[in-house]
Amino acid sequence: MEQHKGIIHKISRMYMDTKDDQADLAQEIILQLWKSYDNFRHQSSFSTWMYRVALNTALVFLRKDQQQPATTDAVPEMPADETSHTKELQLAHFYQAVQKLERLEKAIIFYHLENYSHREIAENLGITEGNARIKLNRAKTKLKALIQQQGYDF
Amino acid sequence: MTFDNNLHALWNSDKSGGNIDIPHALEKLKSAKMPVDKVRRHLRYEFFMQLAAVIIIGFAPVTLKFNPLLIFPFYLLYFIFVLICGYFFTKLFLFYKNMSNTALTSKDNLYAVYYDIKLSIELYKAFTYCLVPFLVLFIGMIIVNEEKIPVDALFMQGAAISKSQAASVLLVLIGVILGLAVVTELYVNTRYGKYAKQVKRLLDEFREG
Repeated sequence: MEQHKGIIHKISRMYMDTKDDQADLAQEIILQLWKSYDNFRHQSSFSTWMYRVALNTALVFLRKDQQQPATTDAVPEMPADETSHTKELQLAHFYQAVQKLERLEKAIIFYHLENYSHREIAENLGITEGNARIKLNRAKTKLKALIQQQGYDF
Repeated sequence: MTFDNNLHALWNSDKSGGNIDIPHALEKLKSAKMPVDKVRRHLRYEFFMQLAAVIIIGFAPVTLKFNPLLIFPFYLLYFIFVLICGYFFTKLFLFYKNMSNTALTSKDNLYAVYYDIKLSIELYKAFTYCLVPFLVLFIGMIIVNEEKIPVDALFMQGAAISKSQAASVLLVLIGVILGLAVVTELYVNTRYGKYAKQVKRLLDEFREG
Protein backbone atom coordinates (compact mmCIF):
# COMPACT_ATOMS: atom_id res chain seq x y z
CA MET A 1 0.00 0.00 0.00
CA GLU A 2 2.95 2.26 0.72
CA GLN A 3 3.86 2.59 -2.94
CA HIS A 4 0.30 3.49 -3.92
CA LYS A 5 -0.34 6.09 -1.28
CA GLY A 6 0.00 8.90 -3.80
CA ILE A 7 -3.22 7.58 -5.33
CA ILE A 8 -5.08 7.87 -2.05
CA HIS A 9 -3.93 11.45 -1.80
CA LYS A 10 -5.00 12.24 -5.36
CA ILE A 11 -8.44 10.74 -4.93
CA SER A 12 -8.96 12.57 -1.64
CA ARG A 13 -7.96 15.81 -3.25
CA MET A 14 -10.34 15.24 -6.16
CA TYR A 15 -13.32 14.51 -3.95
CA MET A 16 -12.90 16.88 -1.03
CA ASP A 17 -11.97 20.53 -1.10
CA THR A 18 -10.80 21.26 2.43
CA LYS A 19 -7.66 19.86 3.99
CA ASP A 20 -9.66 18.41 6.89
CA ASP A 21 -12.09 16.55 4.70
CA GLN A 22 -9.26 15.31 2.51
CA ALA A 23 -7.45 13.86 5.50
CA ASP A 24 -10.68 12.23 6.72
CA LEU A 25 -11.37 10.71 3.34
CA ALA A 26 -7.81 9.39 3.08
CA GLN A 27 -8.20 7.73 6.47
CA GLU A 28 -11.53 6.26 5.48
CA ILE A 29 -10.09 4.84 2.27
CA ILE A 30 -7.26 3.21 4.20
CA LEU A 31 -9.75 1.74 6.64
CA GLN A 32 -11.92 0.37 3.86
CA LEU A 33 -8.85 -1.07 2.17
CA TRP A 34 -7.90 -2.92 5.33
CA LYS A 35 -11.44 -4.10 5.85
CA SER A 36 -11.88 -5.47 2.37
CA TYR A 37 -8.44 -6.94 1.92
CA ASP A 38 -10.01 -10.39 2.40
CA ASN A 39 -11.93 -9.80 -0.80
CA PHE A 40 -8.78 -9.24 -2.80
CA ARG A 41 -8.50 -12.57 -4.54
CA HIS A 42 -5.54 -11.86 -6.75
CA GLN A 43 -7.75 -12.21 -9.83
CA SER A 44 -7.01 -8.65 -10.65
CA SER A 45 -3.91 -6.61 -10.09
CA PHE A 46 -3.48 -4.97 -6.72
CA SER A 47 -3.85 -1.49 -8.16
CA THR A 48 -7.15 -2.29 -9.90
CA TRP A 49 -8.58 -3.65 -6.68
CA MET A 50 -7.27 -0.71 -4.73
CA TYR A 51 -8.67 1.87 -7.15
CA ARG A 52 -12.07 0.28 -6.91
CA VAL A 53 -12.20 0.25 -3.14
CA ALA A 54 -10.83 3.78 -2.91
CA LEU A 55 -13.27 5.21 -5.44
CA ASN A 56 -16.23 3.32 -4.02
CA THR A 57 -15.39 4.86 -0.68
CA ALA A 58 -14.97 8.34 -2.11
CA LEU A 59 -18.23 8.13 -4.07
CA VAL A 60 -20.41 7.86 -0.97
CA PHE A 61 -18.20 9.65 1.54
CA LEU A 62 -19.97 12.37 3.51
CA ARG A 63 -18.53 15.71 4.47
CA LYS A 64 -17.93 16.65 8.07
CA ASP A 65 -21.18 18.54 8.06
CA GLN A 66 -23.80 18.35 5.39
CA GLN A 67 -23.58 21.99 4.40
CA GLN A 68 -21.53 22.75 1.38
CA PRO A 69 -18.61 24.82 2.67
CA ALA A 70 -17.97 28.03 0.81
CA THR A 71 -15.42 27.09 -1.80
CA THR A 72 -12.75 29.66 -2.09
CA ASP A 73 -12.17 30.66 -5.66
CA ALA A 74 -8.74 31.95 -4.81
CA VAL A 75 -5.93 29.67 -5.82
CA PRO A 76 -3.50 29.29 -2.93
CA GLU A 77 -0.23 31.16 -2.80
CA MET A 78 2.62 29.19 -4.24
CA PRO A 79 6.37 29.15 -3.74
CA ALA A 80 8.30 31.51 -5.96
CA ASP A 81 10.43 28.87 -7.66
CA GLU A 82 9.56 29.32 -11.35
CA THR A 83 9.00 25.82 -12.78
CA SER A 84 7.50 24.26 -9.71
CA HIS A 85 5.42 27.42 -9.42
CA THR A 86 3.64 26.86 -12.73
CA LYS A 87 3.17 23.18 -11.96
CA GLU A 88 1.66 23.93 -8.60
CA LEU A 89 -0.56 26.62 -10.05
CA GLN A 90 -1.76 24.26 -12.77
CA LEU A 91 -2.44 21.56 -10.23
CA ALA A 92 -4.33 23.95 -8.00
CA HIS A 93 -6.48 25.01 -10.94
CA PHE A 94 -7.02 21.43 -11.97
CA TYR A 95 -8.19 20.29 -8.52
CA GLN A 96 -10.32 23.35 -8.07
CA ALA A 97 -12.13 22.69 -11.35
CA VAL A 98 -12.48 18.99 -10.54
CA GLN A 99 -14.39 19.93 -7.38
CA LYS A 100 -17.23 21.15 -9.55
CA LEU A 101 -17.66 17.86 -11.40
CA GLU A 102 -20.23 15.26 -10.41
CA ARG A 103 -18.95 12.41 -8.27
CA LEU A 104 -19.17 9.89 -11.08
CA GLU A 105 -17.39 12.24 -13.46
CA LYS A 106 -14.53 12.51 -11.00
CA ALA A 107 -14.18 8.74 -10.93
CA ILE A 108 -14.15 8.58 -14.73
CA ILE A 109 -11.56 11.34 -15.01
CA PHE A 110 -9.44 9.58 -12.41
CA TYR A 111 -9.43 6.29 -14.32
CA HIS A 112 -8.71 8.13 -17.54
CA LEU A 113 -5.72 9.89 -16.03
CA GLU A 114 -4.47 6.55 -14.75
CA ASN A 115 -4.48 5.43 -18.40
CA TYR A 116 -7.44 3.10 -18.23
CA SER A 117 -9.13 2.34 -21.53
CA HIS A 118 -12.85 2.92 -22.07
CA ARG A 119 -13.45 -0.77 -21.62
CA GLU A 120 -11.54 -0.91 -18.34
CA ILE A 121 -13.32 2.17 -17.02
CA ALA A 122 -16.64 0.58 -17.91
CA GLU A 123 -15.70 -2.70 -16.23
CA ASN A 124 -14.64 -1.06 -13.01
CA LEU A 125 -17.64 1.19 -12.74
CA GLY A 126 -20.19 -1.36 -13.90
CA ILE A 127 -21.46 0.57 -16.90
CA THR A 128 -21.31 -0.10 -20.65
CA GLU A 129 -18.30 0.84 -22.73
CA GLY A 130 -20.33 3.25 -24.85
CA ASN A 131 -21.66 4.94 -21.77
CA ALA A 132 -18.14 5.26 -20.37
CA ARG A 133 -16.94 6.87 -23.62
CA ILE A 134 -19.79 9.38 -23.71
CA LYS A 135 -19.42 10.25 -20.04
CA LEU A 136 -15.64 10.62 -20.27
CA ASN A 137 -15.90 12.97 -23.22
CA ARG A 138 -18.53 15.03 -21.47
CA ALA A 139 -16.49 15.18 -18.29
CA LYS A 140 -13.37 16.28 -20.18
CA THR A 141 -15.23 19.01 -22.03
CA LYS A 142 -16.77 20.17 -18.80
CA LEU A 143 -13.42 20.15 -17.01
CA LYS A 144 -11.78 22.14 -19.79
CA ALA A 145 -14.55 24.72 -19.70
CA LEU A 146 -14.30 24.97 -15.94
CA ILE A 147 -10.56 25.57 -16.05
CA GLN A 148 -11.04 28.25 -18.70
CA GLN A 149 -13.72 29.86 -16.58
CA GLN A 150 -11.15 30.20 -13.88
CA GLY A 151 -9.16 32.26 -16.33
CA TYR A 152 -6.59 29.61 -17.04
CA ASP A 153 -5.70 27.42 -19.96
CA PHE A 154 -3.54 24.37 -20.31
CA MET B 1 -5.96 16.61 -27.77
CA THR B 2 -3.32 18.84 -26.24
CA PHE B 3 -5.57 19.52 -23.28
CA ASP B 4 -5.70 15.80 -22.65
CA ASN B 5 -1.94 15.34 -22.95
CA ASN B 6 -1.22 18.28 -20.71
CA LEU B 7 -3.64 16.93 -18.18
CA HIS B 8 -1.90 13.56 -18.18
CA ALA B 9 1.49 15.17 -17.80
CA LEU B 10 0.23 17.32 -14.99
CA TRP B 11 -1.40 14.37 -13.27
CA ASN B 12 1.75 12.29 -13.39
CA SER B 13 3.79 15.18 -12.06
CA ASP B 14 1.68 15.38 -8.92
CA LYS B 15 3.88 13.73 -6.37
CA SER B 16 2.45 15.46 -3.36
CA GLY B 17 1.00 12.28 -1.87
CA GLY B 18 4.18 11.38 -0.02
CA ASN B 19 3.12 13.05 3.17
CA ILE B 20 0.22 10.72 3.90
CA ASP B 21 1.05 8.39 6.70
CA ILE B 22 -0.57 5.04 6.69
CA PRO B 23 -1.49 3.97 10.20
CA HIS B 24 -0.78 0.35 10.89
CA ALA B 25 -3.03 0.03 13.89
CA LEU B 26 -6.48 -0.48 12.53
CA GLU B 27 -8.11 0.11 15.90
CA LYS B 28 -7.23 3.75 15.71
CA LEU B 29 -9.41 4.18 12.68
CA LYS B 30 -13.12 4.16 12.88
CA SER B 31 -15.53 4.69 10.11
CA ALA B 32 -17.52 7.83 10.64
CA LYS B 33 -18.65 9.21 7.36
CA MET B 34 -19.96 6.39 5.28
CA PRO B 35 -23.73 6.71 4.86
CA VAL B 36 -24.52 3.14 5.89
CA ASP B 37 -22.41 3.41 9.03
CA LYS B 38 -24.01 6.70 9.85
CA VAL B 39 -27.56 5.42 9.50
CA ARG B 40 -26.78 2.34 11.55
CA ARG B 41 -25.07 4.29 14.29
CA HIS B 42 -28.06 6.62 14.63
CA LEU B 43 -30.46 3.70 14.60
CA ARG B 44 -28.49 1.89 17.27
CA TYR B 45 -28.62 4.94 19.45
CA GLU B 46 -32.37 5.11 19.04
CA PHE B 47 -32.73 1.43 19.78
CA PHE B 48 -30.96 2.02 23.08
CA MET B 49 -33.47 4.72 23.92
CA GLN B 50 -36.24 2.28 23.10
CA LEU B 51 -34.59 -0.37 25.24
CA ALA B 52 -34.69 2.04 28.16
CA ALA B 53 -38.38 2.65 27.47
CA VAL B 54 -39.02 -1.11 27.43
CA ILE B 55 -37.41 -1.49 30.84
CA ILE B 56 -39.38 1.42 32.30
CA ILE B 57 -42.64 -0.03 30.97
CA GLY B 58 -41.76 -3.32 32.67
CA PHE B 59 -41.91 -1.60 36.05
CA ALA B 60 -45.26 0.10 35.41
CA PRO B 61 -47.37 -2.43 37.39
CA VAL B 62 -45.14 -1.91 40.43
CA THR B 63 -44.94 1.85 40.32
CA LEU B 64 -48.61 2.33 39.46
CA LYS B 65 -49.81 -0.30 42.01
CA PHE B 66 -51.72 -2.36 39.48
CA ASN B 67 -54.94 -4.16 40.26
CA PRO B 68 -53.82 -7.81 40.81
CA LEU B 69 -56.23 -8.96 38.12
CA LEU B 70 -54.37 -6.88 35.55
CA ILE B 71 -50.88 -8.06 36.41
CA PHE B 72 -51.00 -11.41 34.64
CA PRO B 73 -52.37 -10.10 31.31
CA PHE B 74 -49.92 -7.21 31.51
CA TYR B 75 -46.87 -9.41 31.84
CA LEU B 76 -48.16 -11.84 29.23
CA LEU B 77 -48.26 -8.99 26.75
CA TYR B 78 -44.97 -7.65 28.04
CA PHE B 79 -43.30 -11.00 27.39
CA ILE B 80 -44.36 -10.97 23.72
CA PHE B 81 -43.32 -7.34 23.52
CA VAL B 82 -39.82 -8.15 24.78
CA LEU B 83 -39.53 -11.06 22.34
CA ILE B 84 -40.32 -8.75 19.43
CA CYS B 85 -37.80 -6.16 20.63
CA GLY B 86 -35.20 -8.91 21.00
CA TYR B 87 -35.78 -9.97 17.41
CA PHE B 88 -35.12 -6.49 16.07
CA PHE B 89 -32.13 -5.91 18.34
CA THR B 90 -30.37 -9.05 17.15
CA LYS B 91 -31.16 -8.18 13.54
CA LEU B 92 -29.63 -4.78 13.83
CA PHE B 93 -26.60 -5.74 15.88
CA LEU B 94 -25.64 -9.16 14.63
CA PHE B 95 -26.79 -9.67 11.09
CA TYR B 96 -25.44 -6.48 9.65
CA LYS B 97 -21.88 -6.70 10.85
CA ASN B 98 -19.41 -6.32 8.01
CA MET B 99 -21.84 -6.83 5.22
CA SER B 100 -20.15 -4.41 2.90
CA ASN B 101 -17.79 -5.43 0.18
CA THR B 102 -16.31 -2.35 -1.36
CA ALA B 103 -14.40 -4.24 -4.04
CA LEU B 104 -17.48 -4.66 -6.22
CA THR B 105 -17.90 -2.58 -9.34
CA SER B 106 -18.90 0.93 -8.37
CA LYS B 107 -22.45 0.52 -9.58
CA ASP B 108 -22.98 -2.77 -7.77
CA ASN B 109 -21.43 -1.28 -4.69
CA LEU B 110 -23.82 1.66 -4.80
CA TYR B 111 -26.77 -0.66 -5.19
CA ALA B 112 -25.55 -2.61 -2.16
CA VAL B 113 -25.20 0.60 -0.15
CA TYR B 114 -28.64 1.78 -1.25
CA TYR B 115 -30.16 -1.55 -0.33
CA ASP B 116 -28.48 -1.53 3.07
CA ILE B 117 -29.76 1.93 3.91
CA LYS B 118 -33.28 1.15 2.72
CA LEU B 119 -33.30 -2.12 4.62
CA SER B 120 -32.16 -0.47 7.85
CA ILE B 121 -34.81 2.20 7.49
CA GLU B 122 -37.57 -0.31 6.77
CA LEU B 123 -36.45 -2.45 9.69
CA TYR B 124 -36.69 0.57 11.94
CA LYS B 125 -40.18 1.42 10.66
CA ALA B 126 -41.39 -2.16 11.04
CA PHE B 127 -40.10 -2.17 14.61
CA THR B 128 -41.92 1.05 15.43
CA TYR B 129 -45.18 -0.21 13.96
CA CYS B 130 -44.87 -3.50 15.82
CA LEU B 131 -44.83 -1.60 19.08
CA VAL B 132 -47.97 0.44 18.44
CA PRO B 133 -50.62 -2.18 19.39
CA PHE B 134 -48.69 -2.98 22.55
CA LEU B 135 -48.49 0.62 23.56
CA VAL B 136 -52.20 1.07 22.96
CA LEU B 137 -52.97 -1.96 25.14
CA PHE B 138 -50.54 -0.91 27.86
CA ILE B 139 -52.01 2.56 27.96
CA GLY B 140 -55.51 1.05 28.02
CA MET B 141 -54.54 -1.06 31.02
CA ILE B 142 -53.05 1.89 32.80
CA ILE B 143 -56.23 3.91 32.24
CA VAL B 144 -58.39 1.02 33.50
CA ASN B 145 -56.18 0.80 36.56
CA GLU B 146 -56.02 4.52 37.30
CA GLU B 147 -59.74 5.10 36.81
CA LYS B 148 -60.45 2.15 39.10
CA ILE B 149 -62.73 0.58 36.51
CA PRO B 150 -63.66 -2.89 37.82
CA VAL B 151 -61.83 -5.36 35.63
CA ASP B 152 -64.39 -8.16 35.85
CA ALA B 153 -67.18 -5.76 34.93
CA LEU B 154 -65.16 -4.71 31.89
CA PHE B 155 -65.32 -8.24 30.51
CA MET B 156 -68.67 -9.40 31.89
CA GLN B 157 -70.63 -6.31 30.98
CA GLY B 158 -68.85 -5.54 27.74
CA ALA B 159 -72.17 -5.92 25.92
CA ALA B 160 -73.55 -3.00 27.89
CA ILE B 161 -71.33 -0.56 25.98
CA SER B 162 -73.45 1.35 23.51
CA LYS B 163 -72.69 1.37 19.80
CA SER B 164 -71.81 5.05 19.83
CA GLN B 165 -69.36 4.52 22.70
CA ALA B 166 -67.73 1.65 20.81
CA ALA B 167 -67.55 3.79 17.69
CA SER B 168 -65.88 6.69 19.48
CA VAL B 169 -63.27 4.37 21.04
CA LEU B 170 -62.59 2.96 17.57
CA LEU B 171 -62.27 6.43 16.03
CA VAL B 172 -59.82 7.56 18.68
CA LEU B 173 -57.75 4.43 18.09
CA ILE B 174 -57.66 4.94 14.34
CA GLY B 175 -56.70 8.56 14.87
CA VAL B 176 -53.85 7.64 17.20
CA ILE B 177 -52.50 4.95 14.87
CA LEU B 178 -52.68 7.18 11.80
CA GLY B 179 -51.03 10.01 13.68
CA LEU B 180 -48.20 7.74 14.80
CA ALA B 181 -47.75 6.44 11.26
CA VAL B 182 -47.49 9.95 9.84
CA VAL B 183 -45.03 11.05 12.53
CA THR B 184 -42.87 7.96 11.99
CA GLU B 185 -42.76 8.34 8.22
CA LEU B 186 -41.94 12.04 8.43
CA TYR B 187 -39.30 11.54 11.09
CA VAL B 188 -37.56 8.67 9.30
CA ASN B 189 -37.64 10.49 5.98
CA THR B 190 -36.13 13.69 7.25
CA ARG B 191 -33.56 11.99 9.43
CA TYR B 192 -32.45 9.04 7.33
CA GLY B 193 -34.05 9.56 3.94
CA LYS B 194 -31.38 12.06 2.90
CA TYR B 195 -28.71 9.35 2.85
CA ALA B 196 -30.84 7.14 0.66
CA LYS B 197 -31.55 10.10 -1.61
CA GLN B 198 -27.88 10.94 -1.92
CA VAL B 199 -27.01 7.43 -3.06
CA LYS B 200 -30.02 7.34 -5.37
CA ARG B 201 -28.84 10.55 -7.03
CA LEU B 202 -25.43 8.98 -7.57
CA LEU B 203 -26.98 5.88 -9.07
CA ASP B 204 -28.90 8.07 -11.48
CA GLU B 205 -25.60 9.49 -12.68
CA PHE B 206 -24.63 5.99 -13.80
CA ARG B 207 -27.54 5.80 -16.19
CA GLU B 208 -27.03 5.57 -19.90
CA GLY B 209 -26.97 8.80 -21.91
